[in-house]
Amino acid sequence: MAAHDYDSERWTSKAPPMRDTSLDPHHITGPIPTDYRQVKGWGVDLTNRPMYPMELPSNVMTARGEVRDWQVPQEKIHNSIEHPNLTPVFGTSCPPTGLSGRMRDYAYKYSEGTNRHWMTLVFADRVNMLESLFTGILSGKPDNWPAEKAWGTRLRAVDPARRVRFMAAGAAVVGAVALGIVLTKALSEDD
Amino acid sequence: MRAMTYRGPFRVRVEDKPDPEILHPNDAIIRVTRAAICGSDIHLYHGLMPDLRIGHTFGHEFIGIVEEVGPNVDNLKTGDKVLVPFNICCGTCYFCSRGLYGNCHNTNPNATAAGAIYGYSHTCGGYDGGQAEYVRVPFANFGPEKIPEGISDDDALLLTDACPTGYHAAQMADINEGDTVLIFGAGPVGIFAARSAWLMGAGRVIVTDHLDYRLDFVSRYGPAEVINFTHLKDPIVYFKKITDFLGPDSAIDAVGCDASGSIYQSLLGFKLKAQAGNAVAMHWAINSVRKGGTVVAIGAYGPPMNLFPLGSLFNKGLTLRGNQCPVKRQLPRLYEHVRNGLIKPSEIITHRFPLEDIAEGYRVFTSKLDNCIKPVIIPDRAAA
Repeated sequence: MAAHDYDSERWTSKAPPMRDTSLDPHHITGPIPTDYRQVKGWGVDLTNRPMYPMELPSNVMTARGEVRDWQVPQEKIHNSIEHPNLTPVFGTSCPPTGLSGRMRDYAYKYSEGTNRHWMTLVFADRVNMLESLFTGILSGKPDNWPAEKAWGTRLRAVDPARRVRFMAAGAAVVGAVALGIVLTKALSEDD
Repeated sequence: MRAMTYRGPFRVRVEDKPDPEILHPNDAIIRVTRAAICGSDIHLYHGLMPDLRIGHTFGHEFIGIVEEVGPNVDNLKTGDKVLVPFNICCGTCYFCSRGLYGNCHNTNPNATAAGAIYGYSHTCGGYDGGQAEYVRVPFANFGPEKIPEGISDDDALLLTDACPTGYHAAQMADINEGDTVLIFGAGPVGIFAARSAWLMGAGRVIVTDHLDYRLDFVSRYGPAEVINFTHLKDPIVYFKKITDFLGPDSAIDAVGCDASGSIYQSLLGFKLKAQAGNAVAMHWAINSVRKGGTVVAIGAYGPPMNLFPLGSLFNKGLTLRGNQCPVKRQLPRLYEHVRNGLIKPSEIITHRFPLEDIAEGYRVFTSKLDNCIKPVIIPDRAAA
């Protein structure tokens, strides 16, 4: 049998050129020893891991197991329809109120597998925020957005030169608006 | 009592609220001595979790002193100093009895998909959290643990969530000796996942983020190789390139729904609220990991849907794991690691704020100001 003519027009024993595999200049290697086994604590949990096996053996075969005492609701508690009944304990923060509360009532009629459930809750959260703006004013505790958002902290962290530019731009906008109002009034008086 | 309250996206304030009461014989009331703001509190702060009601008090990382116990609580007494794992769990239901304390079926009436968590919206049970002077702790005969000898208060605080969660992520990554582990996110959980990956026997640990100061920290704390992904034209190609075009053996998404890095995902998740936040870290994890590899979701995602590369998951034969960390399962081993100096949780604490200044704490942490990695909140009555 004739010797195989390995390289031809159709194939070759030479691999195509490899792409560059060098590290990016921003890639930083921490103080890692050449032999990674020298890293402090290396391998101490190679075979000793608290989550193995993931599930521990158990003979409890019902969802709730044995429950002796049940918390009694003092206000409306929403309960997923995927639960067999109300859980033995539950949180009592912020009972549902107002329009957002009614929206939450509606959402909890649907299972956790439905967009109707989750998106109604997301929307109710926004309605709840609007409600709180009004109830805050009525109760004498109005929202204080600059303090609640810590604008001062944010502003202090901005680079001083940028802060000056930002404040100058703000002053220019306020000045332009004020000038516009004055001119508009002056022109309307002329008419 | 004084307590942090949520007022709407990006707004929190401290208000007077009624003191919590014993509502079940297994309850305890804890006076909070230290609380932390967790990276997952940021998802709440941004208004991304459904059923997040105005007036809710956040805070699932806290330690404190037992003030009062219900008649069935026999393992704690008034005056005990305890750390409280973030999972509210009964210890006896189908899931708890199997050690899945993050999936307790008896504590969250609002959802079956999520376990109950202190101060984490009504989707997680509607419990007020620990960024307050006092907090109600259900099933106190099972959840809280007396802080053991040799564990400082700051270490104990970090052992309620961030440290065990990072450790849990490394376990779920199924690391074999010499494996390459890629971690997305250099926040507290990513930092602890990097440290833990070495304990599990990794051969190479790489962390990526967009914040240089955090990458600098984890490069020394892990230690780890670090790369700021904003310098990369295509992060996925880069991660393939530096792993001999195989991809890392495991990829850990320690970011969750508040990721940066994709205008498209941000538009859908943040601006239009058409999906549960921005899932770009999960996309990158699935697309960069090697075929047959393991992807871990440990950064928090809300229950509503996300656009998700299911085709890549299928075609690459990946294992995808995610779960809330069952803290109590991890604590005995972590106490040993802390005592032996293999993990030093408190080293990641960078800031401390009085409870009254919590709005500033949230702003500093959220906007990544002043090189913040982990802020701690100290209520006025902490030393009472």
